[in-house]
Amino acid sequence: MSIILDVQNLKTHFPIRKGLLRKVVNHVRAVDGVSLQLHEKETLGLVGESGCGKSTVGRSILHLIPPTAGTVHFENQDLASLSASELRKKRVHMQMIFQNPLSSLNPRMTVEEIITGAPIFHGLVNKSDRRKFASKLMNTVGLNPKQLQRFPHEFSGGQRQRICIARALALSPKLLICDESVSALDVSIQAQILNLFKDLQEEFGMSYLFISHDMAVVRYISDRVAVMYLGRIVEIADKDSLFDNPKHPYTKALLSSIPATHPAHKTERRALQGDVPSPTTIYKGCPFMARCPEAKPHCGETPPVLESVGRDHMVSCFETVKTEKAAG
Amino acid sequence: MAQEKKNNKAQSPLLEVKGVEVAFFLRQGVARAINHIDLIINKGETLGIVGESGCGKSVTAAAIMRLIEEPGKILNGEILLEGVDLLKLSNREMRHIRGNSMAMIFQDPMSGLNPVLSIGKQMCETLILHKGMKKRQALERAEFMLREVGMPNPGDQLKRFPHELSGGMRQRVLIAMALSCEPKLLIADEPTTALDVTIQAQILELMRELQKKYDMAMLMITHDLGVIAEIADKVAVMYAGDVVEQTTVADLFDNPRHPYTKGLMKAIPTMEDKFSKEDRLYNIPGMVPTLLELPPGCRFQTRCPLATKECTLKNPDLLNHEGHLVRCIHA
Ligand SMILES: Nc1ncnc2c1ncn2[C@@H]1O[C@H](COP(=O)(O)OP(=O)(O)OP(=O)(O)O)[C@@H](O)[C@H]1O
Ligand SMILES: Nc1ncnc2c1ncn2[C@@H]1O[C@H](COP(=O)(O)OP(=O)(O)OP(=O)(O)O)[C@@H](O)[C@H]1O
Ligand SMILES: [Mg+2]
Ligand SMILES: [Mg+2]
Repeated sequence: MSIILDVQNLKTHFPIRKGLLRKVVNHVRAVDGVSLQLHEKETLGLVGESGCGKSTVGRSILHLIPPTAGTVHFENQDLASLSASELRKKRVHMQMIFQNPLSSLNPRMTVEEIITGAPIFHGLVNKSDRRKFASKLMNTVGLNPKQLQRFPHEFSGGQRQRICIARALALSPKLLICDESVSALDVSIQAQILNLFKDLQEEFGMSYLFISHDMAVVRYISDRVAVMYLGRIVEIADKDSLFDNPKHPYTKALLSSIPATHPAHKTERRALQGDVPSPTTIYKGCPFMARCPEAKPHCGETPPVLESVGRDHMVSCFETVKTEKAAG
Repeated sequence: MAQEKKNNKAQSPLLEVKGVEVAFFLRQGVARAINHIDLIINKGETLGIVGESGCGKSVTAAAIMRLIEEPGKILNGEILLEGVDLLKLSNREMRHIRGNSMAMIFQDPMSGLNPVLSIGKQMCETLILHKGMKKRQALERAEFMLREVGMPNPGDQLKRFPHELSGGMRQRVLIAMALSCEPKLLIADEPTTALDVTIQAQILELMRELQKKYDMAMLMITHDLGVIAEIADKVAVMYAGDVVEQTTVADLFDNPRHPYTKGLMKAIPTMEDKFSKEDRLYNIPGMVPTLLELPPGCRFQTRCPLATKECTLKNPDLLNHEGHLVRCIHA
């Protein structure tokens, strides 16, 4: 299967300004050297602690935020080389469902206008077919087409999230970045939407970058999974090997804090200790060192890089790589 | 001792919602968002509400806070907080209750934050208004609360604006704000959905701790049954504006009785499942009816595997099966 998205050493830093002159005093290193590839008909899950930079990766890939460094190739085309209008056209094929449904919906537009605006603008749908087109999408995401003339604030949280999903699907994108896209849905509708994503993939070969806090959902939908920590990918692997055989100490900690599925098991849950570190610090060595139960003094000397530790399994950790290599 | 405490609790409900009904008067008709809701929360206890998206969970919370806006109306019922009917209070009295006795964490993290004010300003505003603190004291308290909810560099965060924070950080700010006034009742609408599992574990732990420390009761709205398992004592399951089942958490997980609850349980993906590319999750067939065209009789009958002719005649009552309440004639 061919590569549809190729991200190399992506960095996105936000300036922190202070004082009357708004002088830049420091940077939030939200994304700090992320590389990943996504194939056609593939789903890559992206997980990690809150604030580690997942949404920023998504937005930087689409160049909704200009990346500070690095390259993004979509269908072999460098997005940085496109003009603003070319980029807008490209975005028909790469859509993102944003994390915050309400603030990404125009409060003065009806649901029908929200869903059909872009496809009409890009000439994918005739104005006269508008109603039929929107109704079909409403059914697809489990909303009643009779509500097409309503405004976003008249819907519940989960219903708004589905309006966002419908809007993204309206363009039949080849790449869809889903940022916590099923998190506000109850389990039955969540199941329905996740099944829909898989069906669309099977039928049209869509690719997904799937950002979520829900590990069971990630395991269900993904082919491969990447774990992020402080703006970097620390482990990336085939999903079964990542969840059944996590190697990075951070991944292990993350997986051990998955919520119980039954009240009788709730004591087994263990929260990761230590403060979430500040993304403004520049680390000489491994950024996870301060919270790592397996850290050795040498971990603070140079930054670790992703290294292969088995078929389709890469880890960025000195100690793990050493033990894996010793084990052969 | 424990027995005594239990009895004590049973005698003193903190919040009692009795027969509350809310409707939205729209051009297209009347949308009956919640239909005769009864809930009891005792002091220091956590009641979870779960249910399908759009079933009326947020509207129930808004009704308790008396934050239903036009064209919505609370039609019937009583909402008693320590015996006082909130529906009879003046707007001024209600504002006082909102900051002091009850606090709410809203579902959309952006809607609870003012985009043009720094985090510190917003946090201090509530503390100065409701707790009568001096500015310095309020700042200290705000910084303390941000540290309590696990924000890195709380001092610096006070100067930042909402759009500069990640989704999870915004949610933590809202939790810090709600807890800063030490309310007796905390209503939390999906408070941890935007949080990753590690922070979620910390926040739930923190909420449990503060709950004990201040003897705070909680109404926890979530669609995440894992969160319910972690934190709730009792659970109410809602469907299309009705409470369809209500019992203790352990009982609900071990012995769900309403066909809707059973369907929900079946739809949860678990970490133990190894899914292949072809696998699909179970989901309850059909669609939630819109509020403008509810089916006759039981509201779940159009999607229910057990439905019979009888179910179309009358919406069943919430019947008490030894403390386990169920709204289904086949349960
Ligand atoms: N516009 C901005 N200006 C300054 N800092 C920002 C901005 N947007 C994001 N950040 C910072 O970048 C970091 C990463 O944020 P991002 O939203 O990508 O995290 P995330 O992994 O999506 O978290 P969550 O799971 O909570 O949504 C955070 O420290 C955040 O405060
Ligand atoms: N302002 C409004 N005008 C019209 N209808 C409304 C309004 N607010 C809510 N509703 C309707 O009331 C019903 C209940 O909404 P509510 O927000 O309580 O759902 P919810 O259970 O919180 O769902 P979710 O889990 O998706 O957040 C929904 O069908 C919604 O469309
Ligand atoms: Mg995010
Ligand atoms: Mg809601």
